[in-house]
Amino acid sequence: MEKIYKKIFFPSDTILSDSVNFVEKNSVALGCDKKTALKLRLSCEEIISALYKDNKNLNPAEISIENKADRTVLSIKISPLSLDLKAFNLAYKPDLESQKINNLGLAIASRYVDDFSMEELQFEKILINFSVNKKYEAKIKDIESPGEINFYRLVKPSRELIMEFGSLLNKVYKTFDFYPDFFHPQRLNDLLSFGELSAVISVNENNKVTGGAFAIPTRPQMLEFFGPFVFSLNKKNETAKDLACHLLEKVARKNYKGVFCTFYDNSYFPEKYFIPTGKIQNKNLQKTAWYFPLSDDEGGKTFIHPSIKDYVLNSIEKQDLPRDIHIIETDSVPEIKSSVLASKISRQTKTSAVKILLSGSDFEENIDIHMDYFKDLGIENFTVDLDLCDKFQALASPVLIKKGFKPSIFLPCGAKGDLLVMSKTISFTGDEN
Amino acid sequence: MKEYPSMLVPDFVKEFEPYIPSKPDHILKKYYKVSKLHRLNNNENPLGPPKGAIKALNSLKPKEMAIYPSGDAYDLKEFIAKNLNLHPDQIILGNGANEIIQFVIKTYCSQGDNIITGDKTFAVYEWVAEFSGIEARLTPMKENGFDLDAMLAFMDERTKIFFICNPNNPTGTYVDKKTLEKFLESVDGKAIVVLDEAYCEFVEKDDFPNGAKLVDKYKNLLVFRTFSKMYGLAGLRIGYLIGSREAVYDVCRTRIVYSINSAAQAAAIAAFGDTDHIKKTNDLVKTGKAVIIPRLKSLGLEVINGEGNYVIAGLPFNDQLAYRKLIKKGYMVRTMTSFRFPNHIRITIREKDVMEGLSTAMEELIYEMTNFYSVA
Repeated sequence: MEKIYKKIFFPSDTILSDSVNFVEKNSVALGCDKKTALKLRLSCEEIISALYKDNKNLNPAEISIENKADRTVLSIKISPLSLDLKAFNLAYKPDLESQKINNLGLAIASRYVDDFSMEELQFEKILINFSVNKKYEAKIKDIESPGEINFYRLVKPSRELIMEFGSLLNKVYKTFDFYPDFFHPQRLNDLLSFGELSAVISVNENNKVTGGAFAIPTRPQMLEFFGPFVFSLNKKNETAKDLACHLLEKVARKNYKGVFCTFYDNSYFPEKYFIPTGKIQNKNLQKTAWYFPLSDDEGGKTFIHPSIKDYVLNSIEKQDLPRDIHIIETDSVPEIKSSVLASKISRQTKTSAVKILLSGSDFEENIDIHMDYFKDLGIENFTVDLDLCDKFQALASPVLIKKGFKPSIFLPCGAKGDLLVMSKTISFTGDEN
Repeated sequence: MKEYPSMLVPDFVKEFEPYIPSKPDHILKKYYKVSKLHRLNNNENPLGPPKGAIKALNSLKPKEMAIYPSGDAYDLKEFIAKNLNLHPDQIILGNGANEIIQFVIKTYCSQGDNIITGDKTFAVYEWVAEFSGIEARLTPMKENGFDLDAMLAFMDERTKIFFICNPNNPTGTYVDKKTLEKFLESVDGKAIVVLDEAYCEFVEKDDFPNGAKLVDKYKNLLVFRTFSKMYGLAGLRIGYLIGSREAVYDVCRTRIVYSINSAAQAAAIAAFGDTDHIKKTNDLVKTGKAVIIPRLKSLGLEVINGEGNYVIAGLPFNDQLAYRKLIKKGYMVRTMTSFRFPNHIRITIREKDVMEGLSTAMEELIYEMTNFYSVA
């Protein structure tokens, strides 16, 4: 089966119908259900209508629709011209009186989907991505836990083993609170089949799964490490240590800067191999975030506002990172007014994660709007990722400090820009902790 | 121009990331701004080849390089056989032991078969098997040595080869003669047992088995040896296999001939069995270990020391970081994440003064890093 369909659409009277038909037809061809195909079609429709409504835009739009492991992604490469990017903010509320009614469509477009992202390209183009996650609703098979074991060995997972591992993971760690579907065996299998998941499984002499660990890319240049998880009643520490050593070796030659780990079992996590790089915290939990560099740090530029100076410098010194440090005392603001934030929300875990897609002078106002929107949804744990290679993102830190955020995790990415995660937790009643 | 047909690459091959060897010394020196670089990363012999081998290399005539070498290293094979009291048909030469590993896996394994080895050993057994679409069953180490009981527990009717690195690279542990024979009896000729003795000349223990003396008794035993380590001929890439005549005949079915160049053949004949060179090298290793090991231990570091011209040091921080900081001080060590020992480095034992210099560099490194950590 094809995995991607791509086409360039030139401005014409039929660009809207041509592009939406392309998206709908090919999403179905990629195996999407009707609901997903409709969401992607509507997203495309809103963008193309807003872009070509007055026939002034003479630039083509490049549209692709791609089947990824656990999601379908609609990508639209455009020259935005008069498009008001602000409307892509999840918390955007259109001003109906100022006649910007078209923006309502854009705001809705970013809400149709599970993930929305945007990046600036060369030649004043932007790439907009809309993702709809696959649904994993199949009942998870109840597999007997391995109990006591005599021996284990480490293997690369086959389809059968990753499914068995996923089933045991859901059974043994069902109390873990995470995004819905995240650990579904079929999702793990899809990620494995598409090469998006690196995993190591331990099995006993009867080839029954006794544990496992896996890593997937969740941030640019970074892999997130999950586990190790051990299901046998004995040999837990040895298995956990071996799984961690194997997985680190396996991912060490991949093109990532490092792995970070916040999702593990405290009772046997092999801490000695990892570097503590901050804390994750939410209402119920405070845990160390661990980091392991996969390649030598080639050095890079880091912008630091005095409000986070101690935290960031300490993190840099601790890992002896070669950095060209720029302390930014000025309060310069981006020329662009409207900032655009990408948001991910989990109502189940009451968490929100924000990334700055486009820095703008209205950041403070925008983050306030987002926080209010999240609070209305019952969100209690907030994080904002800052790319410290970007001066304007670094300048967001004093604003976030003012709003009660604290630096919580530092992930070094060399020349690609260090990532600082700032977080804030409020209590159920809305009081700040 | 047409696109590159990447779909031709089988899926199991696409799972591998290319191995990128370290850059040449002159590039590293420039990059890290150091004038001198001590290579402590590849277990090379700092004494170089034995005198006889140097003489043999110096006597090579460039004009003769137009002639193909002996396709099966005939003279060298005869020479080794005579010295080991074996028949020449019990020996195969290869372009380094890596090539011999390929011969053996190609000979015995087909799709659906498996090989069994330890999970923290020389990785090429595992790599060659998996590149070839053969399952590599990896059992965890027991006290840094091969767990032979675990290896036997995972043997089945599709198990074709056991690989045992003896002494083990990187941990230096070894399987003694009694344990090895018991293991061979348990395998009972149902699979090939490969004993990789790349570092055997460094072992001076009475209970260390000499695989060459066991191949007639155990027809399923194959022994690998190399000229790269003790004999200091790593740059010429030459190693050999010893086995029963029947086993060697079968391995010859997949052997590539003409892969050992004339210089390697000439140097290997001159080097083989030079006891004076072996003694000098072992004395150097003993002296070097006597310097570095107490200094590492006094820093509170875990030291894994066994046989062989190397030791492992466990660090309280990342091995990549240690590599970068030590290379800036002029010492290139081996990061061990790739051997499934994250936060460990392997150090090749060299001359006393180099070991003293490295010890000082390690002390500085630990001091710097401990300060950072105490701040945190």
